[in-house]
Amino acid sequence: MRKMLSLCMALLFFVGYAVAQSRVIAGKVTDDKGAPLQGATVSVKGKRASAFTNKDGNFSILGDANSESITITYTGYEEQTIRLDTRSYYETKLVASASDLDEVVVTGYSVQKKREITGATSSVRAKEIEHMPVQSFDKAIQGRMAGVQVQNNNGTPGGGVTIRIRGTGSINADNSPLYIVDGVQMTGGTLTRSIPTSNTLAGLNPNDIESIDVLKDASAAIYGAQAANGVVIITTKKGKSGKTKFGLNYQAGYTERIRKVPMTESPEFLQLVYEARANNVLNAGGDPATAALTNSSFQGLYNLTPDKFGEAVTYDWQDAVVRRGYNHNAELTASGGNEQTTFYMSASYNKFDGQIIASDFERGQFRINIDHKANSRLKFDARINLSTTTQNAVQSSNSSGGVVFSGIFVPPVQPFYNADGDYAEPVIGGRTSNVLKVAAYDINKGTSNQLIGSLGGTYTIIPNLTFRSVYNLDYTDILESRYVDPRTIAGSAFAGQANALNTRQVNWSTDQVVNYSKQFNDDHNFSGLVGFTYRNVVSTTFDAQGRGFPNELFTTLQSAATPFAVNSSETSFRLAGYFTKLNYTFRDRYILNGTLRYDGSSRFGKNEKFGWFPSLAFAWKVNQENFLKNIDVVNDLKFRVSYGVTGNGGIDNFASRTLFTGTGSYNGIGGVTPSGLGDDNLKWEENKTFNVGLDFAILKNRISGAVDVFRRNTTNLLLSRQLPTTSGFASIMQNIGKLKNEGVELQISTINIDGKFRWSTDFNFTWLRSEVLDLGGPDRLGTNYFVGQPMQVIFQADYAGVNPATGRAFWYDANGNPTYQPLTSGDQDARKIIGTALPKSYGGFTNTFSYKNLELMVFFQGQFGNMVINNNAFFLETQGAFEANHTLRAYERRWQKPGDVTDMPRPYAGTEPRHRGLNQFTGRNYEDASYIRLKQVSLGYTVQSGFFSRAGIGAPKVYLQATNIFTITGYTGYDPELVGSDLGAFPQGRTLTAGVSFNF
Amino acid sequence: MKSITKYLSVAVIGGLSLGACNKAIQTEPVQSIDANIALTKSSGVNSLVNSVYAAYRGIVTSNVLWPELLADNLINTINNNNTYRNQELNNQGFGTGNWTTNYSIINRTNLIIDAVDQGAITDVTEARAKLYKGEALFLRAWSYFSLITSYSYQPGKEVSGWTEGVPLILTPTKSVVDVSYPTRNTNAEVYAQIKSDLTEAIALLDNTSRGEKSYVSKAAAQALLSRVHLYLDEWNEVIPVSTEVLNTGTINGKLTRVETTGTGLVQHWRTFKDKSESIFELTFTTAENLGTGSLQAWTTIFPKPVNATCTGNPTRASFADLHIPTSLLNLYDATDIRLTTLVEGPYCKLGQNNLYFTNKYSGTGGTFGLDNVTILRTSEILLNRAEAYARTNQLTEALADVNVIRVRAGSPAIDATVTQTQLIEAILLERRLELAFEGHRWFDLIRLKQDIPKAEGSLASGSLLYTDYRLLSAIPTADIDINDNLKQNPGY
Repeated sequence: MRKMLSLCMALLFFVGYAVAQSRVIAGKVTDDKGAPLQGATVSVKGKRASAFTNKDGNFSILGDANSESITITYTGYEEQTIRLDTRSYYETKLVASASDLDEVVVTGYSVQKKREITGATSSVRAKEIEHMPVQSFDKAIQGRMAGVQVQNNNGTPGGGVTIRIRGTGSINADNSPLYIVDGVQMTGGTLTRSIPTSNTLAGLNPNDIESIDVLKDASAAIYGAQAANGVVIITTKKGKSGKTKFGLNYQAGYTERIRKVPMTESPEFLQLVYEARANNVLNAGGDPATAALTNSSFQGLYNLTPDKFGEAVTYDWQDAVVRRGYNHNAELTASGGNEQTTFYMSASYNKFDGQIIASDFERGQFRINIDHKANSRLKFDARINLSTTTQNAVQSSNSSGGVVFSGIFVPPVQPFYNADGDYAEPVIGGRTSNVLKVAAYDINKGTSNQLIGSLGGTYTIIPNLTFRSVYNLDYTDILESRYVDPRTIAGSAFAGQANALNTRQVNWSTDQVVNYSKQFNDDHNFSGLVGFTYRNVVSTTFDAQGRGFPNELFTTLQSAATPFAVNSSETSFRLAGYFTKLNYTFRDRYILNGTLRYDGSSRFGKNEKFGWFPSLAFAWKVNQENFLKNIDVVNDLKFRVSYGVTGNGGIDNFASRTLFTGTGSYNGIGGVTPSGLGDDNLKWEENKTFNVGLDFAILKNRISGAVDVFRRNTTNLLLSRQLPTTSGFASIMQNIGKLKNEGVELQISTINIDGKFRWSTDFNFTWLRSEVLDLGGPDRLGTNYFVGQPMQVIFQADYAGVNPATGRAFWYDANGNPTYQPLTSGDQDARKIIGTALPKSYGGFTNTFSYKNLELMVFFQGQFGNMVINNNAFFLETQGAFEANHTLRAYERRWQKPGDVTDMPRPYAGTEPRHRGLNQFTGRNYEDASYIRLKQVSLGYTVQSGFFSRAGIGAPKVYLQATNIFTITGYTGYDPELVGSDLGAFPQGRTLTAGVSFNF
Repeated sequence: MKSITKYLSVAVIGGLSLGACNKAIQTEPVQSIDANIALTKSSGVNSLVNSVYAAYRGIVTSNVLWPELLADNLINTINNNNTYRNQELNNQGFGTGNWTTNYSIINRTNLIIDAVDQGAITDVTEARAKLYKGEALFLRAWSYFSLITSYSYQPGKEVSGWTEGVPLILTPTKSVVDVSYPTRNTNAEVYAQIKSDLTEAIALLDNTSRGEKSYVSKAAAQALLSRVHLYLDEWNEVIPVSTEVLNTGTINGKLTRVETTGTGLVQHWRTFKDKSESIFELTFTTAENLGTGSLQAWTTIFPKPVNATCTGNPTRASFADLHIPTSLLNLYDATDIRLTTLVEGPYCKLGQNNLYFTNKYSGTGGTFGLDNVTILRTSEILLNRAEAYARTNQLTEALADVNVIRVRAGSPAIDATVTQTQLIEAILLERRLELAFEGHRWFDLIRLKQDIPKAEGSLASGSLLYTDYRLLSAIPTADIDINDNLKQNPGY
């Protein structure tokens, strides 16, 4: 194995050349006011080597007799080039840059200045997301970048998010981007299996992040088979040489629910249930007034007659399951170093209590980033992040133990406690467990320990030619403990149950890259690289379950009388890739960029292990042309076009293999079951992305931005093809089908007012359109994919409201006529496409105001044009079919007498005869999920006081921050943002925090 | 020249490394094994056989309870979970059929038969190979029998000449090229295959090798064949094969007999494993316990209420969704042990009083949800033979058989003066009483071309006619959609 790898890398060895005669160039760099600038980068044209200025702004660098000029760069300042003459000392002033064009963007295996980028990328800098009260950075970038859609899966502290870059490109394979954290290739998502959700990226402290760069188009092709869904590159902070800087940040605050769904109170609930039962009895020819009440179960359950309904006490379960959850976050950072070594260290502690009872998130974390120059040729760097995260979660299902669900589901007549103070049980309404008891007694805890680290070295073989070797590790170990308390209904059947679930993932990778750059004369600038990468991910699980505990004081497995089940699993995948990138710039006007990757993955069929992923991009810096060069209005104008092929291999590790799995034990002896039918020709889903873009900056960079138009064609879809089950198999994964995504992205930044009072605006918006082109024969796959239609459509009988004459619900049949019983199959299938679950557009809008030491940031974010099932309401608007609590609108708008025009049918216990049940999904249950949300408001004040400067402390900054302040939406459930549906899901909370940060 | 050598060596190393990388990205599954090696070892084949039993265990509720509920032996407890309400109401799409599971089982049995026939198993004795094949043939026949009784009429008993059977797949799907889009064979062809599989299984199997009744034996194959002949009205074939089963004595080393006392009968239902009347049973170990999905959870109250009054809504581990209709309770003699001991009640649930439940599935050894389900038992075979004797007018023999069942339960023996018709009626009634809640009722009514009477409280319209389309299950829509050769049953 190791031998093979070293052979794989052997491709990369190159042989060097000799060096020309050298000279020393020295100088000093200051800002426009003459203050020395420390840490500016000085490089000699045509040479790879560079130097940094020291704290006095002085530098010295080695050039040779042929050196023509030096270039000085410093983030936030205009780049400056000085022509060399016979002098050996040069003093220069840098001018503050009004634009971000000199910021570097991390692209595949290299960094480029933003002004030289040929592809479509989006970036977020530390400043934009600092101090946000979120547990993982992916939540913080929501709404900040065009073409990058971020949706929270739920509001659980530390919960997962769904990120879609330029739409959803796959039906059965993964749609999540590849994450590169300081070079470590990571897969997002969740690794936990018992607690509802966790986020593999929650081990990183968002405040350690320097920049997040997203490769959206063909520029991702250098990541080959993992790049189809885009690449998110995270770079953490580095130290700068000079005096050691300390930073201390503390913030605290609380979270509360964003919304309370209006529900019935006890008198209304009883009235509705009574009417429902009476209508049922009436229907069967009985006398409703007596029959509904004498029905033994109504009496047994509610023990009230209609004249007494008004006296019934209301128990607000929705209030009972929420709380004000407090949070704290403390961070200490230190950074600094000298000419040889720089470091950045941070430690943080984050505790976040959810607004739902019994839920929290706690993280302790360290980071150490070190960069060291051993000599003029050899550099080392190390990045290490260690974290331990503990989450207490609540069940998020629609079962009795589902805390959020039970909060709205349990009828308001149900008391929380018995007279003796114990939890009242069983609970009426169909979910028997008392959720307050379940939340108080059961344990749902997950502890995740994670190491993300890399160790790399860069060796300058000859000037302009470097070799970089880096080894990366992402190691995660999760232990989840679940305990079903013997005092709960679920636990009483087996005297308590404990589960311990261990999940371990070792994800290591290496990159070996040779970099070369050369400027031949003023006109031609070449740079290029070749490299090899290898990734190996091994995941193992081990689970044990035991039952029969002496009492609730024993919660771990050693006390279980019956070892009930044990289970373990192991799976792995490997990936190897060769890549090359060539960049050619002609006269700083025309940039041509090409990449090629040859990738192999263990996941694919034996005939299709390797594939080619090329890309080509061209940029024309129009403002460098003579006809624009002297026009002051235009500061930047760049036209970009790119085309490339990327792959998606996000399928099961052994999807291409015909396998037998060790399941199906019988009589205590193990079994094996054929688990899938393989395909030796299974290969990557292929994305061909075409992008045309324009970057611009005008009026002294007061208005800048980018427009991109793209088309992303996905072919060879990894699709689960249905098989006749007479074969013994239901489906097989094959490359069939095509779809496309296309869209327009707009990103604009403006400085509206400049001066003492400053007002700037950032706006981004994305319009998206998708179409399924081919499903390999059938014109439909399930009920979400139809040829010629957008992805993830909603296919249901459309709701026609309530028949004013009878109070019964109507749907439109296949011919558009109202019917009680819409057919769901055959020629007269009433179902049609009533919308799509994917937004048609989304965007973000940020305004920043500053005056003297005060800064206010207001950030809106939203999505438009998608529908979502209101799955909670599905249970709560059955008009008495379920005797669960009902929404207030279901009660208030219920049909009561002939002639009532409404959308809420008459109450009816059970299903009306010859009628589609209200407890079955139809178009009635879907709602528009468009929303605009005031996502974040932050107010910061920098305390300028002589006291602090005398004490040697930088000006402290105090800040107030609020998130999810309000939402404008037509959606009537908890949260329109949650992916899929919010059934029983933990809604997001409104968080208010206050903090202070010191630098010294 | 020097540089050419340099580039050449780079190219050579590069080429080598590309080849090596093919190996560097190989992975082998750990929790699974490749199909090419899975069945080359005896242990692999044995494990595959195990997974078939496990698959039957997964559909035990639908095999055992639905045929009772779809007919008139069980009804729903209202205002409860209503999980099986659709079955009780014979709603469209809720038949007895287990299309997907049975074809998955059939593919596994085909793999086993193929492995034996091809001599692919490297470490197996000839005797063991014969057993593998015999067991697989039985299991294949069982699945086809389960399919044909759910999706098709019996030959000669068709409605509107509908003779469609189910597709006969007799070769394994080893790779995607083996996947076919089959048409349905005729019902007669499928029955012929079932009989031929069972006959071959009888020749290959024995009654000694497997050690427990949890695995099929020669007697089990004979017992199933007895049932197949009975369903096909092949009375003269029923008798000898039933007699052979009843004379077996021990199966896999375990005593097997028709109990002759009431205590013996109750003891059968209370035994954990290798029950005395069992010919073949499905075993559940603690780890394989179905818990709240078990027969016990649906058909009994657990823990039992301390009193019979209906106060409040006590918390129970079992759902107690399916109780016994009064119409069935009334058929037992008051002294019948099957009423006094194998039925429990009256209990109440959610305001419904006077509910009676079966306790044939009372949780083995007091462990809730732990079923050990008898699939074939001697009393059924005895009743098969009694009916065949009666149909062929051998009334003395028939009376002797059926009276064993009656007398041991504490009911009066049938008088020797009965006519043939009366005796047949009496045997059929005894069959309902003895085999109630064991998955026979629906199929017995259909094989007799009778309408399905519905118990009180379920269907306002009364019986389900024999000609009603719902007597046959619907083939899953997904299969109809992708296989143009496959005809759906009428009415769906």
